[in-house]
Amino acid sequence: MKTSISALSPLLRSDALGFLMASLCLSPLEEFTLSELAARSGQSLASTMRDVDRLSTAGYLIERRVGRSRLIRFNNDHSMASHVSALFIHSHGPGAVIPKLAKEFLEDLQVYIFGSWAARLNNHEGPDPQDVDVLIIGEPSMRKVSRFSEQASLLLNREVNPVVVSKDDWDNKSSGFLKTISNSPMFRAL
Amino acid sequence: MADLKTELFELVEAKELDALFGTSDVVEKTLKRAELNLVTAEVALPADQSAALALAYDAAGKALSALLLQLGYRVHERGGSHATFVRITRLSCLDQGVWSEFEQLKKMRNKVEYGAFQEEYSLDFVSQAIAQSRLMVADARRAISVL
Repeated sequence: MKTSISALSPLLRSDALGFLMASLCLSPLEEFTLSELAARSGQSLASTMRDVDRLSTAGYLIERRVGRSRLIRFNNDHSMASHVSALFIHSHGPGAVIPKLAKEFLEDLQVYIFGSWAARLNNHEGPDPQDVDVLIIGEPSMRKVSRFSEQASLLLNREVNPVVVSKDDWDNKSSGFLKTISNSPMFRAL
Repeated sequence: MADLKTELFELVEAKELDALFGTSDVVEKTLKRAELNLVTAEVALPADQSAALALAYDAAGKALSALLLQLGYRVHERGGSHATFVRITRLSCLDQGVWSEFEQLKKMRNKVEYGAFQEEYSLDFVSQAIAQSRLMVADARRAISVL
């Protein structure tokens, strides 16, 4: 993953930091190992450790040691916790929420984020994405898609719009819509 | 019924609904148009899923309009009326298990009508949407019959 300046949030040094913090903010009671955070942020263990050290020193994160492992969680008691959380969930939350909920509701399907959020992640600068476009490939039930979309919208505090296409149509790129998005930035969520 | 009255009063207070005198023949005509939309959606489905989806949404919307007419209301004519329809689906006289998919239906209809990518949905998924809309229209008819 690129570690250049984030177009998803020009306030951030990098998308790696955004994904790291979004993962922690979205599960404030959950503890993560450094390896888990490295995987979620798409950066090396050493870089993750540096980010965690800086954020822990400033009080945004809390860590405890179990044997040789460092377990890290978001510090909900920090005076800026709610603001910091809102910022990271807004900018990088889709990259954490959509894969998690897709795994829960849309198992065995292919799921991508496309549209403006995916474009910003690929450093296409532009306005703040207003919604999150999700492509689901396969034959899910409408009820599951509806639950997925509802929960994702609730967690991200913005509209999540799933589009469902068949695997055959996707493989053949059978419409202008599918040709367009297959040539646009996409983020694999499942 | 007291609950339903309170729910409606809150929507009128919020200027989301207007009082309107609706006769039973207009209610029935609106329901029939909703059912006709579903027939047309089935016909359109193989060739034009986007049109079929828009018709499925329109059918559910008309069913809600018929219910409101029966209650003596209509959605206030202003921007955001589609969001008002979503709130109407939460009225206690409707089967929430059936109407919980309405917002998803609205999102899909918005995407095919106004989406930046000219979004399209699969035939299977639109077929499910039509089936769900059919349940919504039937539920509105049931609710109207017992009001």
